Amino acid sequence: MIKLTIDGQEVEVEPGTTILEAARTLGTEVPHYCYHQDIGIDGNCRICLVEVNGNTDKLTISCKQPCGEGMDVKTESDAVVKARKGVMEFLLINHPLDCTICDQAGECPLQDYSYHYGSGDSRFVEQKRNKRKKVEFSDKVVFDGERCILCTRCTRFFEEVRDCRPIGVENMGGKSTITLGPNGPIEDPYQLNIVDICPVGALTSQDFRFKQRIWFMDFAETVCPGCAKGCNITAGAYQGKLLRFVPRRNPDVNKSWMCDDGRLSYDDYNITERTRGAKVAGADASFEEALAKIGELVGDGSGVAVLASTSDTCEELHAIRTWAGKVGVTHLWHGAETWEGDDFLKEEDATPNTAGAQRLGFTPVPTEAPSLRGLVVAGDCPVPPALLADLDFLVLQAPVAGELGEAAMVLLPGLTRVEKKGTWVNCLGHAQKVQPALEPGPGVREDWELWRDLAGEDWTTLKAVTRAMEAASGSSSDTPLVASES
Amino acid sequence: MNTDLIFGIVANLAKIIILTHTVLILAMYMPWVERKVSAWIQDRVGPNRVGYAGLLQPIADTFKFIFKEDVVPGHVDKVLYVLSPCLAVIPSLFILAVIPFGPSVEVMGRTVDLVIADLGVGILFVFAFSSLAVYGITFAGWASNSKYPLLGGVRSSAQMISYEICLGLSVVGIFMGAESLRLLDVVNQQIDGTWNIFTQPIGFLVFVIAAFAETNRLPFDLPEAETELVAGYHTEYSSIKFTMFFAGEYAAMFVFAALVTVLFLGGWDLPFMDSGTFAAMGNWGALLGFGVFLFKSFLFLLFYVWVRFTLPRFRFDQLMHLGWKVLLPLGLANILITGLFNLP
Amino acid sequence: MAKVVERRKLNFWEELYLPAIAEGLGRTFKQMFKPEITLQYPEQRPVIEDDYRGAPGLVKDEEGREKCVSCQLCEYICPPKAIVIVPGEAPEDTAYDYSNIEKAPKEFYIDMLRCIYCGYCEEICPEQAIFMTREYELNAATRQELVHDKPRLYEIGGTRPGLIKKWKHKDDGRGAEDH
Repeated sequence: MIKLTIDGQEVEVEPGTTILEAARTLGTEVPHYCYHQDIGIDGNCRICLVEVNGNTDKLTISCKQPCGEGMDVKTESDAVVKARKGVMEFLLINHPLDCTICDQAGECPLQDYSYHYGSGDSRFVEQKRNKRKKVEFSDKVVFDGERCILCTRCTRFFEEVRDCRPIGVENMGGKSTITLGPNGPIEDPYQLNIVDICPVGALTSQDFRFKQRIWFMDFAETVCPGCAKGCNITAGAYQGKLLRFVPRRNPDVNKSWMCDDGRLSYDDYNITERTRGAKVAGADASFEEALAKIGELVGDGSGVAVLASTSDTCEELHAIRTWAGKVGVTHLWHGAETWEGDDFLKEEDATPNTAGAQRLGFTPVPTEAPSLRGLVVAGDCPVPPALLADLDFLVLQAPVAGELGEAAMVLLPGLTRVEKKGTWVNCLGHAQKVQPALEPGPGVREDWELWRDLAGEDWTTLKAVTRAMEAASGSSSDTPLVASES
Repeated sequence: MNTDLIFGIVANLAKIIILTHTVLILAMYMPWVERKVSAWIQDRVGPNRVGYAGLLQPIADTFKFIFKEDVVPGHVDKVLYVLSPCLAVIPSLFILAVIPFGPSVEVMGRTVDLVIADLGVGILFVFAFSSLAVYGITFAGWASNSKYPLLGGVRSSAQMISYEICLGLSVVGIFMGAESLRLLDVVNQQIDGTWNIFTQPIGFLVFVIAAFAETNRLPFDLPEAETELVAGYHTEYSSIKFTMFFAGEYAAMFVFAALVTVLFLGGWDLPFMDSGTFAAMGNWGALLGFGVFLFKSFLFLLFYVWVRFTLPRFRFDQLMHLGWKVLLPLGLANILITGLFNLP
Repeated sequence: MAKVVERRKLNFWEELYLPAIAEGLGRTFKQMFKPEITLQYPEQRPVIEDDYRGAPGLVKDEEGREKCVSCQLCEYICPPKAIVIVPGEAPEDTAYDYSNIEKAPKEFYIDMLRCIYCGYCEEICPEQAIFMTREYELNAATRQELVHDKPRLYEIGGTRPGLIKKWKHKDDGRGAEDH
């Protein structure tokens, strides 16, 4: 271990740790543009300069300099402040300052650092350099040469994380700019990540382009509902409509990345027509009537199966399981949905909680399904047609009923994946908290409340369900069902 | 058939039609006069859009009132709710019956007095029916079944009962002088002598103040005090029912203006004429007399309006104080003094 | 501690109130003959000062190009949240070929039933594209008509030449080799 002092505070770090990371452990954020935790260090932007051992003549870039024993680092000394100011001024010389129309505005380090470390003034009176604007790097990414500060995070992302070089830097000196390679538009299925890591508004998403200023939007820190990987995301919505998913860093799951398919899947959850209120035999009914009808139909549970969606949260599944146990339904199955996976982040299993369902005792639908009297479908999942043959009754609880809704004896509303609150367990076995990004609106009850009422339990809050689930299934650190509080 | 009887019926019908229509048209135009005068007092223009100088405004307003939705709240006492607007108008029209409005005319050789019903107890009839007017307002407040109308109704009953006493006492002096309760006698006595306003100044003062209170006009409009009670007793009324209250108020104003004219201002008398002059002019004299009577009444109506835009509203305790502790003793004192002066 | 206001004892005449009433009647009577100060509105018009804040309107420059770049700062600053902008791409017509600006409002709504005429939108606009006009006669048969849309806002705003020119800076020929 190496001991050093940063701004008068002693800190002990692993050998090889950079000064910037060491400072971060103390909660001191050293400004940086080209440095990104999850890609290699380049050290070209020079904003992360710090003073080491009182050397004010030659400041050190903290992103690349490993800590040395007994170093005395100052991140806010006069020399550092002055140097940063200078770097900021140079970066802004040719930056167009069109923040008013830039999609990055509001989440732009250039804005933030200019505000915190810049001089707030420009001495530059000459003509700003003109470069190419609105260059379509692909049908997903647009590039604006004037805004670019040439940190090369984007090119390094492709080289180091995706092992390809669709874009690179052309020209020299003042004319250098990012350009497309000879093979035409970027085709990488993870290309939208360069929009996130671009510290300025040079790379913007075609999809989110000019949709909404981010300060009008509401954000939820949640988990991507697209596949079993469970990439951590921040979901942004405006007036009850999802506008984007952006990855949230989780070094254990997705680092800072997510796939484009998952990112662009947000629009699937902007549903306009959905089930509101309960229906019994096609006629509107109160929730009480509908639940009573289910109890009546299921009877002693013989010949009845529960098919739960693997997008249901663990809490919902536990409520379903509790009810099934009480009425004697023994067939606890979970549905399955797949899409094309890849070898990086995207999983073939297109549902976010298959692992959780299996930990809670749900099994895949057996190939030789026993003949059934009735089927209870809980949540949004495709129902194998074989199960639907010779049914006396079908209970469907889903946000969008579709064609099955007409066949259902009892139809209950449900939440979409982005409206749920609870826990999902991803394919790596991490239990992760899910936060609602949208409100379901009137006539929809939380899924777990419905199943709780059916089971006759007295859980008043979601937390009570979580506790009951923990107690019932013995959630351990190896196979967690409950997300840690961090 | 008895020709006298037929003639009497026709003559009376004619008098009724002439007088009630005069009053109703006046009641219709009084709001316009009021709005104009208030505008002048407040440096404004007043109605000037409908017709010349806004003269068609009352007609436009009438149509508006008639065609407005007649909202009957669900919580009202239906019978009284419908009855009270009628009760607000009818008593005033009844009082007209005993008010003489001009010297007698000669028609087809017969002499016709310009009074619909020349009752020997005319003034008692007046008080009897003016007392009935309070029912319209009180019932409206009660039937509306909501708090502001009720407060307005309660206020009006207390106010009108209190001031009726002063009203009654203030005119006793006049009848002591005229030695008759017939209003025609009172007028004739003034035409040949002096106007009662000069012989009975205290009575006049008390009568005028009480008349303001009886007609719920400012400064005594507590039953409908907008700033306190929304619209008082007629808060829950709309459309034609509200118009009835409105018309009732102005009809009552005219009745009291006519009463003041008859009792204190010499009726149709002009300072340089006496009963002989009117008789000499024949029917033209009667027409002149009617005109003079209307003119004097109208002047008093203007006085109503003028006062309304000069004085602020009384507080309820001040109202009661004035009624019981000032006007009542004044009225009694007036009777005593008149009695002392008229000792045989 | 309540403050006690000493009231002067009224003398007999004042106690009677009648002189005061007579004085009041006299005053109102005199007032009847003073000239009225009413403005006969549809025929006579009030004097509207240059800094009057009437209905906000969007302006175009002398070549008829819209100045608004849909930055939504006015929407952000608007205290009653009367402004709603749907941002979009600037149209790709000839007028915009030499534009630095790729963004333009697709829709621009100002709900005049909400607007409080504070003028913050004019003050914050970085492009000088929105102005408080001297328009004060706003009336409509429906609420929807009082939600001013883009055509109506440009109709109210009209043209304002000069001021900021977002199109200008590419015209001096420098940096052309990058194209």
